[in-house]
Amino acid sequence: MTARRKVQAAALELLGLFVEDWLFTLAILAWLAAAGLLLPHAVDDPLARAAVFVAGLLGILLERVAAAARAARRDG
Amino acid sequence: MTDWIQSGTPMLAAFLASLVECVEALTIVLAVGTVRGWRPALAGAAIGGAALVLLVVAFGPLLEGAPLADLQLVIGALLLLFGMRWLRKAILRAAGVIPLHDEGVAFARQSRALQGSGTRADAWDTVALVTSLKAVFLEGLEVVFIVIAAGAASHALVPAAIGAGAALAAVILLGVALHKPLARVPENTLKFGVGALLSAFGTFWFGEGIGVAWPGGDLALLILIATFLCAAFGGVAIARRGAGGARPARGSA
Repeated sequence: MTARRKVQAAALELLGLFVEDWLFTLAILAWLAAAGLLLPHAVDDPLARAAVFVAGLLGILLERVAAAARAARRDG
Repeated sequence: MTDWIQSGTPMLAAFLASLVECVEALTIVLAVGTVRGWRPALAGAAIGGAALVLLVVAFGPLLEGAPLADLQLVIGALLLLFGMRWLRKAILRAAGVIPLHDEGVAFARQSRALQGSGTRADAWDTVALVTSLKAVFLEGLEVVFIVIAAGAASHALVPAAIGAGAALAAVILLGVALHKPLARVPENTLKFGVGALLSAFGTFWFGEGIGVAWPGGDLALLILIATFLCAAFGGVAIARRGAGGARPARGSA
C-alpha cells in the first residue's frame, strides 16, 4: 500500500467516526443549518423553538431507521 | 441537582462510552498478544496511548481560548453526528436489522487475520505492533472526542476525564485478570444509552448556541435524554415492523 493510500485509508477511518449513512449525516447537517439560520426568525416562542428543533432531529433519526429497515427487508 | 447534572452526566457519558471503546481496543490487543506475542502488542498499545496524550496536550489548550457560543455550536453539531450515529446503529441492532457486535467473533476474526499475515520479519514484528497501535489510537480517539465534547462545553472536562479513566482502568484490570475478550459487556445496551446521552448533549449545546432558551435550564438535559430514549425505543418498534422480522446472526460489525 502506497503512502497516499495509507493516508486515504486513515482519513476514511476518521470520517467513519461521524459518518456511516451519508443521507443521515447530510440530513442532520441540513437541519442544523436550517435551525441555526431560520428558527430564530421563524419561531418567536422560545419553548416552541426548542420543540421544533428537537422534533426535527427525532424525525430524521426515525425516518433513517425506517429506511434502513425497509432496505434490509428489500435485500432479504 | 444542577451541579450533578453539569458534572455527573458528562462523567457518566464518558464512562459508558469509554467502556465500549476500551473493550473493543482490548479485544484487538488481546488477539495481537495471543497470536504474535505480548511485546509488540503492549508496545503498540503504549505508543497509541502516548500519541493520544500528545494530541490532547497539543489541542486541549486551544479549546480554553475559544468563545463559548462557537464551541457550543461546533461541539454540539459533532456530538449530534456522533451520538445519533451510535443511536441509529443501536436501534437497528436492537431490532435485529443488523447483527449485534460480538467480541468473541471480533477476536477470532482478528486472530485469523494476524495468523495469515506472514511470519515475524523482524525483532519488533511490525504487523503486530501497528495493529495494536492502530486499535488503541482509533478507539482512543473516540474516547478523547467524547471526553472533550462532553466536558468542554459544560466546563466539566475533569469529571469527564475521570469517567473515561475509570472505564480504562476497569477494562485493563478485567483484561489482565481474564485474558480473554470481554464478551459479556452488553455493548449494544451501552451504545443505546450513550447514543441517547450524547445526542441529548449535542441538542442542548447546539440549541444554546443558536439561542434556544431551554425550559428549566440544565434540567432540560434530563428531559432531552428521556426524549431521545423514548424515541429510540419507538425506533426499535418501527425498525422491527419495517424489516418484517428478519433476524441476522451475531457478528463483529
